[in-house]
Amino acid sequence: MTTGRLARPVARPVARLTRRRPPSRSRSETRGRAPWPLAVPAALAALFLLMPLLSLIIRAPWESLPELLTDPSTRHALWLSVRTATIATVVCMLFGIPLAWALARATFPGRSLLRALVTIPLVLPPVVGGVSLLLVLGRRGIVGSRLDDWFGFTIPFTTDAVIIAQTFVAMPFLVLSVEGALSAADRRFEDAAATLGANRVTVFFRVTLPMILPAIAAGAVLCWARALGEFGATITFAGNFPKTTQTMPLAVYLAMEVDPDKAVALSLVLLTVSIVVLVALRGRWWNSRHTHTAGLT
Amino acid sequence: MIERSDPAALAKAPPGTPRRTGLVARIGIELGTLTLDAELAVEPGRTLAVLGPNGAGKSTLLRALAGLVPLQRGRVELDGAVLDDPAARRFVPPERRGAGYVFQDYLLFPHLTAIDNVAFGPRVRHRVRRAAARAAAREMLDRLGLAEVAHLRPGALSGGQAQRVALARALAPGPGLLLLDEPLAALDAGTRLEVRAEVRALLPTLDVPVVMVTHDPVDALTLADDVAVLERGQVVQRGEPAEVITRPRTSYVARLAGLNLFPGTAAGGVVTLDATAARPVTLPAPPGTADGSVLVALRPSEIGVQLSEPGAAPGIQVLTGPVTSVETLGDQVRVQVASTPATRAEIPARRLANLRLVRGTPVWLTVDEGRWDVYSQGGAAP
Amino acid sequence: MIRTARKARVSRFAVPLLLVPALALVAAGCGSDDDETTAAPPAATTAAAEPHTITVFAAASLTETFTELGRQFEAGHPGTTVEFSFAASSALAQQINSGAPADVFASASTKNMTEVVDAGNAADPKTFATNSLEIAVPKDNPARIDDLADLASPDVKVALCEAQVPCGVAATTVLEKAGLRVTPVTFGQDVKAVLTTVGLGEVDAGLVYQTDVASAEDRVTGIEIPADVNARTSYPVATVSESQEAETAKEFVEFVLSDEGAAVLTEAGFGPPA
Repeated sequence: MTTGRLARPVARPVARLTRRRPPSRSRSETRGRAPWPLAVPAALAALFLLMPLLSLIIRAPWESLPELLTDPSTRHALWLSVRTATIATVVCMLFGIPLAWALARATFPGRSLLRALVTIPLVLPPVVGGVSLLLVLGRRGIVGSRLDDWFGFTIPFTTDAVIIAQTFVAMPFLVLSVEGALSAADRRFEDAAATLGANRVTVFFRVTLPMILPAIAAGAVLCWARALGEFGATITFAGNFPKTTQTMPLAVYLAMEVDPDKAVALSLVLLTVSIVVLVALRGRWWNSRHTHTAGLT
Repeated sequence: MIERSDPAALAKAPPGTPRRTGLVARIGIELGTLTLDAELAVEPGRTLAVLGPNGAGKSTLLRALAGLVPLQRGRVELDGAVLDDPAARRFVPPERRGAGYVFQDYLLFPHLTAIDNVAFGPRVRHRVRRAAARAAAREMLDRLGLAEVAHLRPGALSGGQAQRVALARALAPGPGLLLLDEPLAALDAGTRLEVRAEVRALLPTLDVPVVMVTHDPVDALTLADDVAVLERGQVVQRGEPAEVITRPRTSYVARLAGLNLFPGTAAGGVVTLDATAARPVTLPAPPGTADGSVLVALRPSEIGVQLSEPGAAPGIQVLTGPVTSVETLGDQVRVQVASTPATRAEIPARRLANLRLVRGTPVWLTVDEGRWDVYSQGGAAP
Repeated sequence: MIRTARKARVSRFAVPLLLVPALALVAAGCGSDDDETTAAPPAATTAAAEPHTITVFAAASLTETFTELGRQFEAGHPGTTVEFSFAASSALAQQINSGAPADVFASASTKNMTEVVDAGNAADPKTFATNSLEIAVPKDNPARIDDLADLASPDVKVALCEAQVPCGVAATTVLEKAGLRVTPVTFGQDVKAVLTTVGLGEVDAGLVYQTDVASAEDRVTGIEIPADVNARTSYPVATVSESQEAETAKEFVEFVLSDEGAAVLTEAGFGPPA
């Protein structure tokens, strides 16, 4: 009897509740957002990495920038840096890819030791790298002294020395990237190629290499970036002379003592070049276009 | 189309040889826990299906024929040319064997289009120039109805298309031997039917020995001329498909074929099923059955199922036991019974409703004695 | 801040990185301030055993001498630690002006000291030593260098200091006075870098201070530069204004200027402050 009277007052609040409650988020939306114990450190890390770069841009001497940048010493240092880093990257690829292949595929005694040793330049302080290069290739070095005696040429203080120093510190990046990809690659594609009549060399160039191209590209980019920024080994082994061995990092370091504004300007140039290259290559190579689905949808 | 015969093999065969000898292989390989020891012979134009459970060594066998795994013992010979002979220290690497291989997951090169995948073999093996190889590849793709996908990458192909491209790729260089590893396994049921029909039409036209590894008895039945059953590295049965499927020698094949298989002993014209010592199940041996071990096969659909003990009747064998499982498959129901020996019966679905069978229900199984198929271990009973 | 017997490496991120230990040092310094004011001032050499640490930024050419001076100072002031950062004076001046936590600055040139004083970071510098240049050649003198003129020869590989560091300024002066055009194969970032390069035999000669030749007698041989073309550089020292250890810093400066300090410097080959 009272039901009739109660029904109506009850019905309306319920209806209002269901109408006003915001639509609950779909599960996929909530899964996309980072939970705050992860988001906060992530944001701090991003800030930590970006702040120095942003402050370069903020504190850049914008008015005197054109004058500082058209200085011939700047152009020489930049051209030297880009040229040597590129050549060093090519050298790294020519020698690093076969090395990576040997580490991943060939069997020989001491292979795992070699794999560990190859990564030493990664953890070695660059100056130490420069010193060791002097001990080998310096005028009185193990190999260098022979070069001097027999052919009369020395390597330190030449542009070649810059390239060698850069190659030394940057090659492990390429070797690691390529070796990882080779180890993870599905060897059965190489079996398939063999059954189709390809010998091992053909398999390498027609099947293996194209399939690890993304890893090679990623390794090469890292290699180039590392070579571009190399300082300690360069100044120790190649020395410091404008146009010949004074790369951008050296120029920045020396400018800091004399003209901090110039140092900032040079740093900005280096930063811009690096960003342009990294961004240009990022889209093309770092997404996995060549996914190995092997024909299965 | 490129010249099909293996040049090396032709060179080896003496002039005037009327026929090629095909594939003759004796394979001995130790693989950790498994010892593969198999002999097979396949004439050109015939297809051998190697049937067996996972881990039996089927893929290894195929890889050994291709040269991807060297033999430890034995010999592989194709059309008279020795491909692998450890005793004679002779080994021809895979790239010179001319054995086309279709892999289970196709392994189409992801960085090449379909047409370049197919052209790969001729370019690499016969050093054909790219344009000519592509033209030949296009012709082959057209023939397989793949013209419109020629310029797609493998990632964009459907399962059926990829399978056909893989086949085309293996065939393009004109192999002297074709090896198929579970060719239809990765396809969905509908595509499988389609592709099976195409492959069936294609295989006899190739005029090369074909060895096909499969775990699907339907593939064996429809595509193969001969079947070899490989279990745990050994060939346990060989023969024509129909023969193997209807008269299995191992429980594995029996299971595949959906048959009940009982070992038995024939003595004095009577076959007694083994494992029925307490309450022997006997049936008359077919005329000419030699004494000794026999195998008895029984179709599940030829077993009657009832809830009450039947009266003794001549010419009827009776088994009894509780139901262990009931499985509906379309309009048929498979009933597994823990009788002695364990038996599987098949009844129409509507019967199930009448019988109201559940786990544990005691049932009686009746078999008309003419339905038992008795055959000896070593050869078929006449 | 690092107690090194060689020059400290200056990284590109010197300023931000130095701020971290700077903060630590300030925090450490704050603690002991109260103690100093309440304790009765004892005799200078027997200060109460409260741990004091001072950081001395000194020119690279002062490496060996100041390390020794630091040792003697610590012996005479128990509980005090002296830490050094050796690098080119121009680099050090730059760092101090960017806020590096130094207590004392000893420069190889008045120009760099003036930079720091003008920025308000130091006051009242006093000259404590002088130095002049010398030609350094590898121990066996493979290129048979006899005098300055040999350096201008195209076959001779020469290392010079970077033009903006004190020894580079001095080298430019010397070469101008001698009327020579010398093209080096490399410009070292400080005098010790040039010395090392010569010592390793990578170059045939370098222009360094005579004190550096004296400090590396086992690796290099020195060839004198005639006094009429030589450059004489003055070494000023001063306390840094923002120092948290002003007392101890002042004591160290006084020690450097004292007779004991002078003895160490003279023995190494430095000239008197005059």
